[in-house]
Amino acid sequence: MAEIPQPNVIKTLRELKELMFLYYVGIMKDREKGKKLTFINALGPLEILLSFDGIVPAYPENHAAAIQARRQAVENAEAAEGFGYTPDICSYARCDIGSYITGKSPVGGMPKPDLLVFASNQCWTIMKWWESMARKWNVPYYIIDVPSMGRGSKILTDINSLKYVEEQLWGLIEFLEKHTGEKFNQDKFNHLVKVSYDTCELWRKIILSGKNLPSPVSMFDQYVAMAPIVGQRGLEVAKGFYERLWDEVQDRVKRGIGSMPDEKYRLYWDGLPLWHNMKDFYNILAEKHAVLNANNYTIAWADLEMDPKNPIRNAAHKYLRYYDTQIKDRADDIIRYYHSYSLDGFILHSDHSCRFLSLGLMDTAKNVLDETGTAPLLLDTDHGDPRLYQTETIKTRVHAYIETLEASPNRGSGKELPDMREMLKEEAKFLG
Amino acid sequence: MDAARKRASGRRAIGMLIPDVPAELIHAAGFYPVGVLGHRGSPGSGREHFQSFTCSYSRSSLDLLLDGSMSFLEGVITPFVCDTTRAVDVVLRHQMKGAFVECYRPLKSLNGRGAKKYILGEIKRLKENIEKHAGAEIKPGSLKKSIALYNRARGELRRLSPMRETDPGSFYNVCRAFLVLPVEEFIALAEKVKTPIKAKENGIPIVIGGKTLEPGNLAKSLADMGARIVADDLITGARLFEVDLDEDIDPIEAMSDRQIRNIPYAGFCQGSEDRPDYLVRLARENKAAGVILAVQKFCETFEIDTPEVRERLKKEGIPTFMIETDFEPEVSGAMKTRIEAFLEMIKNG
Repeated sequence: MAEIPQPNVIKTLRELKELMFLYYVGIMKDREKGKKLTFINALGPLEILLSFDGIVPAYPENHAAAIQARRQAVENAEAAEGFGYTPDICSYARCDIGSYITGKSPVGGMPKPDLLVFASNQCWTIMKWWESMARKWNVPYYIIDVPSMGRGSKILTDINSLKYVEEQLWGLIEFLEKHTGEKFNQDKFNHLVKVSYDTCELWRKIILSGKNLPSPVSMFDQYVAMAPIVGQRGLEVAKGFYERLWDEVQDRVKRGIGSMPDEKYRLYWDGLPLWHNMKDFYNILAEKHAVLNANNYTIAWADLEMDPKNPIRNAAHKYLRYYDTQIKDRADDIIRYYHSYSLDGFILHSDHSCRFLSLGLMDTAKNVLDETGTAPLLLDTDHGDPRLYQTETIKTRVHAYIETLEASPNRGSGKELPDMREMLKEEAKFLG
Repeated sequence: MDAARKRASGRRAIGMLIPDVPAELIHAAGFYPVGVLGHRGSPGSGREHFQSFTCSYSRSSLDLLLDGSMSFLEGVITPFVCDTTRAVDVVLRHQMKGAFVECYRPLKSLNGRGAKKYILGEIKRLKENIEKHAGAEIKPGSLKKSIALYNRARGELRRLSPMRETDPGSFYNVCRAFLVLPVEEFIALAEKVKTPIKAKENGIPIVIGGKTLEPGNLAKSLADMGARIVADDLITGARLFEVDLDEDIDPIEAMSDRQIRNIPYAGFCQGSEDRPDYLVRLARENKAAGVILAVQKFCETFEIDTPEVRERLKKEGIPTFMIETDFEPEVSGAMKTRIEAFLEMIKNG
């Protein structure tokens, strides 16, 4: 076996151990103090929740990813399956649900929620997952229904949908006022939006730094670094962390330090990470000196920045337009990445238990091939169920793919192509 | 699909995936609305677009729409009721170039803030897009007539619904015919059928919960095994006919009102009655001895819904059994054995 190069570690990431420990301790302490533990989905309106002193937000998806990363997925998934959930539903849902049965969790288990909030700018799955908790524990549940309309599909935003989402976001404020007995604090909210905006911008810069040759950050670095942008966006603690991380990334760019030693292949990753086998998957890629330097997942939180001038309207617009990829637009994004990130190839995660991100990928792959001349690899596995990940099979497929890239090198041009986000920003300005 | 193809000759036909696309709008615009109900044969070209972990209804419907079996359609409307139906629409838009490919985006939370206003606007949007495609406005008078016709057809389904107990195989085929035949023809045919006499109290009274009742012969097999279906919440069953449109109000309002008032469906949340409560009520009111939950494999909506539904039924002391179904020709021997064992368990109390 070839020698496996170890990544050039980003020192700032070491801060995360303490930061995340304090984050989870904080959740438990706040709950003990009587704050309402409120579950929210990963792309939900965190800033609104944080503007209430009596609310402590928490993320079952993050909890599930932590379970999977700490190799507790199988026993928790099996417990949920024993209760009647099929092995085909989202492995985040199964692991989190299972942890309430087994009590197994890297953070000692999440308490039962007091409130549930879901914005459907993600999948239907979470709506049903939260509903099952609402039924089981009789917990008040607020849904922000975001009608799917197709991101960047060359159509204008449906105003009826925009007003509907906006009205529901205001409705969320009333829901939280009712359940906390607090009045919405507009000044606090404005401050959170501003800090969140700055934090999202820092996160965006860190992600875009992957365009450099060599890439100073990899997807693996981003997966490790992303917890605060999901759960603490809007708080100074997260902003400070990303400021330090950005400083270090800039320094690496100046000094030409890549995340992957002797970077040889630059690849795009589409979809959710393989939380259960990060190290193993890193090793498979590293053996070929391949770096995952572009993806469509971590950027989602950079796009959550709300315009401080009109944050609720802006959030409604983004929920409708940024998270609803269609075949052609998704392919256009990948082609744009191909050039701007100087990519050699593409791995598209055909994720067994995530239909939201996986269906349509086969057509997307054909589009990418037609436009770039390089066929993407469609990799069948699962984001959170290690039973659907066999090292040897994955390694054989990935290495065979990289060998085809080696045989017909075809790197992206390094040029910038138009980004649909610019068009959407213009539309947002027009809508006010 | 041959029946629909024959009837589409000389007419402009538009397909509708299930559930809930308002057929009245399509009809009032002068089109023949045809339900796209998948098929039970071997997987076809849908495999080129959807992975194996997609529900067989979506994959087999894609087969029909893309392999030429439904080439008589000049368009198709897909309801967004889950991640998969949303993806069906995406693939169709990409593959059916030049065709009228439209979506219908019902409410996810039925009683949420702004829900009523939104669904009114959404039905208006769909109406305008159908009009654009038709090249003519849908007149309120035409829409009222279409609503009256579909209500009459629903009335026929309700009249025939005791057949669900005596001859469920035929009854669910009549429900399919409601979705596939021209509504005028459906009414004419249904009216010729005598009102079934309510079954004598023989057979084990069962409520069926789920999306569709597949494989094709499952309803008949259940009857053969001694079950008597007394109620259901299927989208190819009771959801079609339990609730009429109000003919005394504005037609668009009537459509949005039905979307909110219809019986519970697992894809939508927070209606006036939660689905587990509804199934308990169906079982109690119809004196059912048990509930069979027919869950289509890879239908995540129902797969996530089911465990808490089972818990609720269990708490109420109602025997419950889940079967994993698929669009396939026949009920397997293994499934029959499991159902028989469940029915035996109920019989023995």
